[in-house]
Amino acid sequence: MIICLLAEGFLPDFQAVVKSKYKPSATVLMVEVNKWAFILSFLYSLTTGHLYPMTIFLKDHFQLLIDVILIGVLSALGQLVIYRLVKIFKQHIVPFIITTRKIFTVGLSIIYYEHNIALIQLVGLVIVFGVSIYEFISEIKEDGLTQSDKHIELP
Amino acid sequence: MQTFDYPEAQLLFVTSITWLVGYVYNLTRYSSEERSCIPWFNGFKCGSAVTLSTIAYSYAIYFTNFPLVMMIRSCGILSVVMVGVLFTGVEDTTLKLGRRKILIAMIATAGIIIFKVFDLNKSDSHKST
Repeated sequence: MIICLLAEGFLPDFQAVVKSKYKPSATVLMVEVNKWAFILSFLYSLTTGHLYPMTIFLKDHFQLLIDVILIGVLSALGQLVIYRLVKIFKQHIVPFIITTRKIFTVGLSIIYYEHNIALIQLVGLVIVFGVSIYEFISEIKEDGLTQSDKHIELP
Repeated sequence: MQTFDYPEAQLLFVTSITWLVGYVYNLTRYSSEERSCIPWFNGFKCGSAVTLSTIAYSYAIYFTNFPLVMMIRSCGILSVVMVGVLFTGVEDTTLKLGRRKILIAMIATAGIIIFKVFDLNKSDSHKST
């Protein structure tokens, strides 16, 4: 879990470095990251000896293969939007948006399926939404200030 | 019953399809210079972070249980902000995160943890994967 959290923590920062130094388009960054992730996971699969049994398993369970391909296609579409967000906002805003979306989905599911919800959980929801909205507003204000500073500096 | 114990399987499909779709899209929209503006080492660093987090996440679920992993993963915002503030490699000052962001991330993480700890819909069947 520590490795997972660390890797997840470093990824937005690595992407921010690339974004600020090389200014790639959202899809160029997406392709580059996915290319390397594919190469590394393929090497992992090869070195652990998973590749062959995995291929046989997928051949024997065709429905699973269809499902995994569908997940891949949907994920590709989702990533197009995520990398657009990475391109537009600072590195910490994307996890904020993702978390808010998750909590929003949970909230909708609670309302739609009439799940039980404790009052303290509502407090949790309000905290997450409140902090996210506050952060967005302060980012927009900061951006506005930076833009006006740049405007003043112009001769 | 046969089980599908390959943590990298989904990553292999997702990344290969996204790479292919994105590559074709970029071919039609950008010049070769624009397409290759990212040095390989930077791409490698990003790709290894994705691979490492996905595989570690799959193993974490395999060895513990899903609710626990989701709970710890809720601290993702905090880890992103901590890395962004303390170990950042970003030189562009407009992209640097201030220390105030740690407090904001801590509050958001507390909200998520409260939401998950007091979940009334948790059933025993969800406690193991």
